[in-house]
Amino acid sequence: MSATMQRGSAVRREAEHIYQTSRSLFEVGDQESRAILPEEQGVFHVQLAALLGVFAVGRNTCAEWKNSIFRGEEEFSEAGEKMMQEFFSIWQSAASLFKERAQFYGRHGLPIDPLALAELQAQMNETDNILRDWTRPGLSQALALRSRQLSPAGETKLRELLSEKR
Amino acid sequence: MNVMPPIAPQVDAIEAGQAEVWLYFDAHNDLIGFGSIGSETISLRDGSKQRICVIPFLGIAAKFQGKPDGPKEERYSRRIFEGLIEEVRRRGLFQHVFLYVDPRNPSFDKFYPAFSFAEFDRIIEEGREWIIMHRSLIG
Repeated sequence: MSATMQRGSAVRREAEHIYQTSRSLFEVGDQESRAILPEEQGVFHVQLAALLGVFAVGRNTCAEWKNSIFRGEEEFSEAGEKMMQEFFSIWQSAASLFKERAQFYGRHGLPIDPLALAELQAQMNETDNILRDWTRPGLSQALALRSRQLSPAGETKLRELLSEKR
Repeated sequence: MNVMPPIAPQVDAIEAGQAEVWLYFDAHNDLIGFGSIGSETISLRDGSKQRICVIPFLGIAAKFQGKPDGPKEERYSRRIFEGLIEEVRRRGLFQHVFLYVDPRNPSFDKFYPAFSFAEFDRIIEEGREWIIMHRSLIG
């Protein structure tokens, strides 16, 4: 498995973990008295930060994976594509939970940081776009955009060029 | 000549965010041609990687090839190509520009050398020989 696929697998697992733990946390919160909400809200903030963070890593990993295939550094695989798409789907499910829960806290007089909520909404919109406009990555049609090795003589010349000063 | 960045016929490169492509139109909104700037990764034998600037696409519509009549310097192909090189220089990110050309293409020993491009290396890709040409932007 390539480095980007390994990272993709890790962020998918992390998104799944956040989704599952949040579901448990928020279900318990619904049944409990209002007194424990401030404590739950504290955990919510930590979990929300993790969710926002894992999105950034997942998005970058997916972009690197697509670029790597485009440049011919990695072969396309349906398993890889499924994993990347699943990451965004799971993340989106978790984000919907967080959005609903933030509204719930608001109704109980415990508003969530509006900047964090704006970031959550922006990432949800981006995820919608990524999934809606998903294009399967493929090898660059342009030869000049594929990664390659030069001949030994070409590599020597390139090293000489790069060592020149402006 | 009007320039419209950065939509293009080379959609895969644009969608992948790996190249910028400019379309060039005349005053009647007829497409004259397109040109592009991108970057490529060279894997060196010590395991390191080096990014280089490439001009992956340059195309002139058939009816505009060799046009307009008059001095060669005024031709669309030259103005578009010169514009791409100037854009790379203006950005200041790379000191060298590379491109790939089929050795049977007359541009190899006529058009590109007129812009100070010279043969740099030869590669075989998908059973076909390609020449990598180089031009320095230093100085």
